[in-house]
Parts: sequence; structure tokens; C-alpha cells
Amino acid sequence: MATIDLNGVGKTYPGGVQAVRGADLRIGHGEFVVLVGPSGCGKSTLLRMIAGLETITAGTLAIDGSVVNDVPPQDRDIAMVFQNYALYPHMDVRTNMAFGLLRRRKFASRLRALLSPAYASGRTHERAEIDRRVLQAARVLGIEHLLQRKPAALSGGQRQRVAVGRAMVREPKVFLFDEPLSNLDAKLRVEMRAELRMLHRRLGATMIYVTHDQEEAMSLGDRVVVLKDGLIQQAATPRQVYDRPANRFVAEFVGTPTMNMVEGTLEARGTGMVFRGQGIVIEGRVDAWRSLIEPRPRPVVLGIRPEHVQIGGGTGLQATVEAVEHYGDRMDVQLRCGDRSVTARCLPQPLQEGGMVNLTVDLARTHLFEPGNAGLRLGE
Amino acid sequence: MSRPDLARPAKGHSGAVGGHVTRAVGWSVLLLGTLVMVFPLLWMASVSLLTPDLAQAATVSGDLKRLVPTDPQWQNFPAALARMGAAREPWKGFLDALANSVVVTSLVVVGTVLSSSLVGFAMARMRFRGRNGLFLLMLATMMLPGQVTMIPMFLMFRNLGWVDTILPLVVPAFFGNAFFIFMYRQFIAQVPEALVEAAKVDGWGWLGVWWHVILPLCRPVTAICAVFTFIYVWNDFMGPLIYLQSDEQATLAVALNSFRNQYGGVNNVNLLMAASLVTMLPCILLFLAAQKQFIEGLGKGAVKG
Repeated sequence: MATIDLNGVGKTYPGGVQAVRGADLRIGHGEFVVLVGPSGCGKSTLLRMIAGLETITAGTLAIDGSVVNDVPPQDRDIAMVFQNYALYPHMDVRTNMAFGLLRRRKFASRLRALLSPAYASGRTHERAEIDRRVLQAARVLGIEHLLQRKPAALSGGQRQRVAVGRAMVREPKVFLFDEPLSNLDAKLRVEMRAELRMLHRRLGATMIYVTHDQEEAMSLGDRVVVLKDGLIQQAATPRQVYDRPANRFVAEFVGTPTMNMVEGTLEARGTGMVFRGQGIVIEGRVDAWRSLIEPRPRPVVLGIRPEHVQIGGGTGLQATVEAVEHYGDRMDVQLRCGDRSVTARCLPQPLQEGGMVNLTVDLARTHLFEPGNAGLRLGE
Repeated sequence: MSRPDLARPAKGHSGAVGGHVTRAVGWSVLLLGTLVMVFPLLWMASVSLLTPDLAQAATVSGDLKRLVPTDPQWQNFPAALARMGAAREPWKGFLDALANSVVVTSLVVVGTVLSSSLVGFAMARMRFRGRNGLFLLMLATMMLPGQVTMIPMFLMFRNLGWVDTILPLVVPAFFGNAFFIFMYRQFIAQVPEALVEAAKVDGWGWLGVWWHVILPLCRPVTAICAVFTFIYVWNDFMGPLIYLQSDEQATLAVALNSFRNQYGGVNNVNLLMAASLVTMLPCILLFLAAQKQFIEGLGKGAVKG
């Protein structure tokens, strides 16, 4: 277990491209942190900087309090699982897993082993310890029967387990995962996700995991770090990221279907307030938004999660059903409301495409953002 | 109900015959080419098994019928090898030359493989200032004919006191060969970067990554490098002739030349061919043994390089 501190960490490539900008993050002992974001957001670069595979051009990175900016990967006591597993094709599974533990068996020590029987016995003991660790990891991952096979003779899922096993036997301070499930089919991915979560609980190790799949991030991480254009947008628990997104980007990135964003204005009405925008009018009362009320209507962006759009029951908003997607236990409905389309997620119910329905939106369950690109959350 | 295959026209009798003819012509050309290439080897093997008279007759007359050894003279081989070299004792000259050739060739092969793969690895995977410039400079050395550097190198080795030792033949091999460095670099550039990174994260330094991960993966290129180097060094005449002056240091190529000078007349052509055949036998055997890797390696080099 280890702590990791990133203080203003940045990466600028020789051409001037900034992949990561001023990343500040503290990862605690045994924490499972997931870096998530769209392609090119800098999440893999950040992970590779922690691994020592990319140089850090700004800020400091500390593992257990020691700055490791200039420490090569082999001296950082970390293990990494790569997207394509990076198993050594010429070694069998056993050697692949033991490879990281064999690194100190240099020629000089072998020579000493030849000359000193006590030393040789120590080495034999060490070899036995390596075998024990490999077997233990193989047992945990259910790959004992594959130890003699070469990577080419393994399926995608088996390779993924070997790659995890290779990291496990090292018993490193930090585990790094670079999209390790992205090459697996959907069913296996869900299974492996659960196994990784259990593995983290069992080992209690500090783990950093990179993915572009927000569902994976939400299901795995103790904390989720959302990145965009090399900047950390929000670092919080999955619940917080979902319920209180820091800005419009996070709100739209996390959650399926995407949050509905309606541009409009907010103004006072009686003891409450009213939102008007793009043909949609919602009245309600949110105490946290009181300070936002201005004498003139204030431009804002209202975010509504699809599951918070209720079909039927109210009379406030009328909408036309444009499309219905059935998923068995739930359904997503595409609606035309005012000048824009809105997505609703609800329990299965009989709806006709082209028919009219009433919508209800509870203003207290919506999110308010500043207009513009940054789109910071309002009303905290 | 089966549907007729409309896309493919039915092959008529004339089409099948045409295909056979084309194939027969192709095979004939290949066979002819093979015969032209193999004939000198067969001629050498055949003459080495003839009596002196028959060998002389076959050589002078050019009568191909006389080339078939009806009574193979196997004793030609020990007779030729026993007389090789300047030593008084029979066999000593041959055995000395064989030992020298084995030592020089082995060291050069090992040196070339290790140094070329190491430099190729650095050129392909290590990022450092001036890497591309150095690579181009190294490639430029391939354009220089060996004769240009022959005299400066001889003077350098003479000043080092290495003349009449195997050092001038062996030591340069440990500093890489431009062509093989190029081949290794192109091959290693195709090895996934993640393997190198995984090994580094696993705790290995650059040398460890090269030895444990890269070198085993480069087996096809190593096979080409080893076989080409072996054949070149085993048959090299000029290098040993320049640097090895005493008879005890001579390699097989030099010893064979001495043998030719001594017994090169038509009277002893059977012995000369027997000695020549023995000299080139390791190259043929090595090629046959490494044939699969060799062809595979050439193919890979072509595709990946």
C-alpha cells in the first residue's frame, strides 16, 4: 500500500502539445481510483507518468512521500496491467508471472551461489518462494491449469488474468491498470470488473485504473477522476460525481443516457422560482438556488437526468413521443418537448410513438450550470 | 434447391490444359535454374570421388559421362586433409586451420549477433538526442567498400600489435555490423512497445529488457545474422590473409589456398576438390539446419522491414 501525491503535474510534448495540465490529486493508502475521460483527455498519459514511462515536464509526483519524478519505472515498486496485456510471447504463463521476481538474480549473484553453499541454499529458498507466490496468484485467478501454456494458446480473458497475476505476484506498492478490459467482450468485461473489485478488497492495495467507459469507472472506483483536455474536472466518489457533477462536461459525460441540458433563464416567482427555456417552463422551490436569483432573469443551463423526467402524473409539460427503446426492465423514451428533444428513462409502460404525454420534472432534482464552455455547477 | 454459380464461369478442357502447360513451363525453368546453380557443387563432389586419372580426364575432356564415380575413392578425403597446411605432421595443418576457423567464426558470430542486436535495440527503442543522425551515419558506412578501409585498419591494428593474432578479425565484430544493425532495428521497431514497458515496470533495466525480452523475440533475424556471418567469415580469405601471417594461425580458407598452390595441378584435382568440399561442408550443413528459420526470417525482414 502507498499514497500518491500529484502536485501540479503536467506533460508537454516537444511539439508543444499539452497532454496533462496542472494535475493535483492525492490518492490514499489502499484506495481504488479510476481515471476516466474521453479519448485524448490525458488519462493514459497521467497513468504512464505515475508508472515512470513518460517524463513529467511540470510539477512533482510523490509515492509514499518521496518525489519520484526522476526515478525509473523499475525502481518505483509499481506493477502495471496493459491494455493489450503485454505478455512475453516466448515465455510460458509461469515464467511470465515470475519474470518480475527474477530480476535480482544477476550473474554475479549466481557466481556467488556457485561458490557458497549457504548462499546457494538461500537462492533455492528464494526460488521456492517465487514458485509459491506464482501458484498462489494462479489459484486466486483460477489459472493454475494454464501455467505451462504460452500466451498465444490463451483466450482474451485468460491473458487478462495472467496479466493481473503477473502484477499480483510482485506485491507492489501500487497497481496501475491501463484499460485492461477494453479488449474483452461485454459479458466477460462485467465478470472481470467484479473480480477486480474483489481482488482490490482482498489485497487492499492502492490501485489506479484508466478507462474511457464511465460505467466501468462508476462501478469500480472508490473515487472517480474525470479528465478533459488534460485537466482534472472532478475527483470525487461515484455517487458525488453522479449526483453533484462539478460542471456541465462531467454531468454530460457521466450517466447513460446523457443528461438533458436545457438553456434558459431562472427567475423568482412567489416564494419559489421558475425556469424558462426552449419552450420548457418548470416551477419549483430549491433553497440552495435562492442566492442565485437576480432582479432580472438569470441565464443558466438546467440539467435533468433522464430518470428524473416522469411521464404522466403531471400537467405542466406536454411532449410528443418520438421513439421508444425497450430494455426489458426499463425503457428510454425520446420526447419532443417545446423546441427540443428530451430523453426520459422509466419503467415499461404502453406508449405510442407519435402520441402525446404529460411530463413532470421536480426542480429540486435538477442541476444548474453556468452558461458557456466551462459550465460550472451553480447553487451549492 | 441448389443455385448455379453464375459468378464463376465453368472451366473448359482447354483452360485446364493451358494451366498444366503454364505450370510445366514454370517448373522447367526453375529446374534448369537449379541445375545451373547446383552443377558446380555436383561436379566438385563427383571429382572428389574419382581416381587421379579419371579426375584429370573428366576435367580436361569435359566429358560429363566420366563424372559419375563408378568406384568412389573415399580415401581421397583423408589423403587431402592429411596433406593440408605447411606442417610436417600429417593432419596437423588441417586440424589447426579447422580449430582457427571454428574459433574465429564462433567469436565473430557471437560478437555480431550481440552487438548488432544491442545497437539495433537502442536505435529502435531508446530516445536520445541525435539518434536519427547517428543511424544515418551508420547506414552511410554501408556505402563504403571494404577495400577503402583496408589499409588504415591494417595500420591501426599493426600499431596495436595485433597483427598475426585473431584479434583484428574478431574484435571489430563486437562493435556491430551496419547491415545487421539496420535489420535488427527494423525488426525491433515492430515489437510492441508495451512489451518493453512491461519489462521495465517489472523491474528490468535496458540491458535486462534486451537480453530477456528482445533478443529471444528476434530469433528470425538472429538466424539470418548468424548464418550470413558464419558463411562470410568461414569463407573469408582476405582478412586472414592480411592479418594472420604464420601458418599456425591460418584459417581453412587460407590453408585451402596453400593447398591449391601446392597441389593445384590437374594431377591432384580430385584431392583439391575433396579438400574444398570438406571446407564448405559446414556452411551447407548450417544452411540446411537453419533453413526454416532463415527463410522465415528473410520473409519477416521483407514484410516488417
